[in-house]
Amino acid sequence: MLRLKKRNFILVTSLVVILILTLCSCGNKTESSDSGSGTSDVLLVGVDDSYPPMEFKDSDGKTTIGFDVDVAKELGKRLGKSDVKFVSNDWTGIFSALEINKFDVIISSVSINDERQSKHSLTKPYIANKQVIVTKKSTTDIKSPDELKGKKVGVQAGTTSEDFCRDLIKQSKLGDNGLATYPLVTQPFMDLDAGRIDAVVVDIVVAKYYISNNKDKYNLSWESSSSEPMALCFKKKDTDLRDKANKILDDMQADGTMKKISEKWFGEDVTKNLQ
Amino acid sequence: MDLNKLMTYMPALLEGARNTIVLTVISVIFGAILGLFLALGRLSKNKLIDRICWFYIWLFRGTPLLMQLFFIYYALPNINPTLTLPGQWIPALLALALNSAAYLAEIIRAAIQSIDKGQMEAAKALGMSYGQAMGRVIVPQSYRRLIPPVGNELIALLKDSSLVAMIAMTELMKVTNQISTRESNAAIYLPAAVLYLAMTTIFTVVFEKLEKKYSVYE
Amino acid sequence: MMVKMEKVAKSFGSLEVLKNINFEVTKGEVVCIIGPSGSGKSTILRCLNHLERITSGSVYIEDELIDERVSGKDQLKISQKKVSEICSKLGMVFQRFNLFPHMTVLQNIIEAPITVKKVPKHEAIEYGLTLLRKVGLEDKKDEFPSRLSGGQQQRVAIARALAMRPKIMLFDEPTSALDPELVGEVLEVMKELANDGMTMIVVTHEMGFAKEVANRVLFMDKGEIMEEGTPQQIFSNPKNVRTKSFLQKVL
Repeated sequence: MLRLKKRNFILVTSLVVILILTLCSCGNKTESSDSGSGTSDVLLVGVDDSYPPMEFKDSDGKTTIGFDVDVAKELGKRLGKSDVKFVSNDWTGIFSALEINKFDVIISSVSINDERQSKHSLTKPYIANKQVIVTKKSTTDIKSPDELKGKKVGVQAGTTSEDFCRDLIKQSKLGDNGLATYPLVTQPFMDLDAGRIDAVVVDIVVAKYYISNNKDKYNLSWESSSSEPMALCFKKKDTDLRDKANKILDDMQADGTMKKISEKWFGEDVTKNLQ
Repeated sequence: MDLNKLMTYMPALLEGARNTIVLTVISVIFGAILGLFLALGRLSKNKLIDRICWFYIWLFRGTPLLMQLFFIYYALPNINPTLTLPGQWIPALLALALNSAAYLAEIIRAAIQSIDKGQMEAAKALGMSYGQAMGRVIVPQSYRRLIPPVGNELIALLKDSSLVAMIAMTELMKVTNQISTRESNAAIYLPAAVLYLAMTTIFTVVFEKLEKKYSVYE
Repeated sequence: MMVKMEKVAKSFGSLEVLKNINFEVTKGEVVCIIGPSGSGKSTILRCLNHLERITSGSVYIEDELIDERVSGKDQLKISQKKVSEICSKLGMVFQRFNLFPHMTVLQNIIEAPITVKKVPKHEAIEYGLTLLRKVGLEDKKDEFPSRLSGGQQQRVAIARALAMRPKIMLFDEPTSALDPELVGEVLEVMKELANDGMTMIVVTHEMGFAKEVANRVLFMDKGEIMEEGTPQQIFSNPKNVRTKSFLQKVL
């Protein structure tokens, strides 16, 4: 027993040491660590990287890519940062995570609304977005939000798509039980496939990505006429940094950088004509 | 999803799986240490210590792990900014360890209580203090009885650790979600499930071996 | 005086298990306590080494007051260290052996001397082997207790108690849990111990052993010492009616 115990002790100790070493090594590699409100040399960017083509993973499943990612990298460069790192946060909680210093800025398809304006520091719009309705190819009776009555609609939770649907419910254009919300943006599409819902309300940029990936499956049934601008979202207190970013966004518009990034990801420039 | 695509995603999945294992094992080790003290506290003659430990177990077993995780990650910094835990690893490990400690405490307490009372009497009659009796006689005997339920707890924790994907930890579940959204295809959940099974199988086998090893004297 | 109890009473809640117990044991004496089950025999032993606390009365070991209580309240501050010291003077052998199942025979024996008395390990092993030889189990030193017969286990338990070099040995029905054919080997070891001059208090149902080995026999019933005397007096010429009826049943 005595000898047995000593061996176990050595075993457990070495196990713990190995684990802590691996932990340290991956701790360095992953994007985490506390940020000093943009004062450090690295710009930490919060993204919900399950939102193609705005922010998602490359074909290795590891590298973060997308429209917002390119914008963020350019922003970091022009702010004089040596590096830009991406922290992958679920959309649920992403705004709380910003305010508790998990990263410096959210560049993750943040649509501008009053609540976000009041709680955080938003820049001017950098891309125009709008809400659209996506249905299955076979669905023919949904051509506008007025035809959603009695239908089931899916959205990602906490998005302006959800706000859009809540407004429809208020206007009695959508039944109280007509809305299903999901943590990930893919999930309403999966439920659409499974036939549990009839339509998905989603940002146009994402809708286009999914439709082009599944040409024979989905239809873009309706496109909102009012555009819904998106902004970079800084912490409430970081107004100086926000003002700097506004200046940089202007410069990026002026020198054609925005146009270039937009054409890379959307094949067209969706960054012009912003109010 | 074809095999070639799966193979290109494999390194990302494996990295996620490694993080899952590291999370689980470290949480269980710290959870077991805290759980042992909680168990001894519950067995203590000191009413106050007993109550405090009871309260801890009541709290952490009675609320969802996801809620504890969100509380530690999001709510603590709101209460006081100095309570902000850096990064994702530390809050994730803390939540999993604190939660598993509550379950392990009850497992350890049950194992200790299942040891024949005569053992404590014999140790005391030989002049051992309570601490010596616990450390040399009672706790070592509880190991074998602990192994099966601790194995269960470890496997449960390994699966529950997928919840930390919600606070930006890049473990297997998160990686799978990311790939699935990229591919707009849910088929990737199947190989991820196989990885989970592989991990739980490894733990099951290890614990069966341990149980055999500690059964030599029976 | 090795052991002395004065006006000792013990109750579990409203149940009185010991009433006004007075008795003494002198050095080298072998005292057997007999009586029906539930008469409080074992409780006497357990009160000596603090496995149970008396409700009132006084207990002396080697003329030193080690416990004094009045209706459950301590009259004497006694430290954990002191309790441990008393326990090392008293070796106890239990009905159900209570060997440590996760330790080998030798480890069982050397555990307490090393952890409690801080005896160097090699000395503890040396003395442990001497004791194992004495109880005739040297060849079993590396076995786990579960591999031994009940009789062998009890002999190891005796060796384990002796390893602390106690002044007094307490036996709590040491043969009651044994198959009849295994009783003899344990009694043999106890007899040897008595012949070596060890002070012993033995709670037993083995009347033959009491007759042969005891210097004095105590008969207990319902928490009281009903009669006390030499084996000759108790077994051949009991005075108390209850002693008579008990002996009629068991002999």
